[in-house]
Amino acid sequence: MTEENHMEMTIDSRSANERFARVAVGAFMTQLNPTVEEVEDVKTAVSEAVTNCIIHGYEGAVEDIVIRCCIREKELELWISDRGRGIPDIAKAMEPMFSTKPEQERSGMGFAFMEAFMDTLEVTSAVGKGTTVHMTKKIGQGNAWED
Amino acid sequence: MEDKTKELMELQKSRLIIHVPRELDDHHAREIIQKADNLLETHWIRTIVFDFEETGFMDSAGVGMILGRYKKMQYMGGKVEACAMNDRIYGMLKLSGLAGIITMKRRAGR
Ligand SMILES: Nc1ncnc2c1ncn2[C@@H]1O[C@H](COP(=O)(O)OP(=O)(O)O)[C@@H](O)[C@H]1O
Ligand SMILES: [Mg+2]
Repeated sequence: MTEENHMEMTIDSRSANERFARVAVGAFMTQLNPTVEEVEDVKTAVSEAVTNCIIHGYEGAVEDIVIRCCIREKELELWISDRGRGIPDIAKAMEPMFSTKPEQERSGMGFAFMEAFMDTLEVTSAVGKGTTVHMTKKIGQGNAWED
Repeated sequence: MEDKTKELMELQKSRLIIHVPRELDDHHAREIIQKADNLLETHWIRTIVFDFEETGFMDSAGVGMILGRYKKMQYMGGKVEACAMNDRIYGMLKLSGLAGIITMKRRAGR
């Protein structure tokens, strides 16, 4: 049984930090004894959320992104927030293939992947104030060091 | 830097083979897009092959990168292929609907 544990970090909204953010969360969750697959799921979801803060939230400006991570029993809970421009229509934004920046090589699959790889996904946002993505995932009994 | 470009992009006559790096996120995709589009402007390229042999991690930026090149190639009458993806990346490309528009080749055992 894992004890409750908590981690919070603030990073600059630079694309070079996308990797750092997902690797840090991946390292933090190892105490849950996750499978390789579970770590990859979480890393993908973190990468999507952080990239969205950089590209859509701040649109290239360098500001703060806050990543909060909590482990309780066998569950990982994550909050990824920016204080950027916000999302006017959250339901529309979450539709697969929907992107407000298709011309910038965006696929509109970010929320679809977060949904596919995590157990729950909740988005709260206010225009001009910012966006928070809240995600949870139950981590199984799998052992990452097996086979 | 120059050496890295050579490794990343390989020209075989009218085929451009892009050796996708170990991790493909928005940060890496920007660099690949810029280099690929430079070559598309200066060379006669009919096929772009994304080789995922080395790639362990990809997020939706990879999907956007492929879609963007697909649109360009369609406009120029060329095609796009992806090969050697692991199970996970293959699943993500399928979920994004890419299976229907580009050629996806999986190498056995991967
Ligand atoms: N942090 C954010 N701040 C503002 N807008 C966002 C944010 N995250 C997502 N969005 C909006 O939701 C849309 C869909 O996001 P996503 O599914 O990741 O696709 P993509 O990033 O490829 O556009 C984006 O195009 C953008 O309009
Ligand atoms: Mg996105």
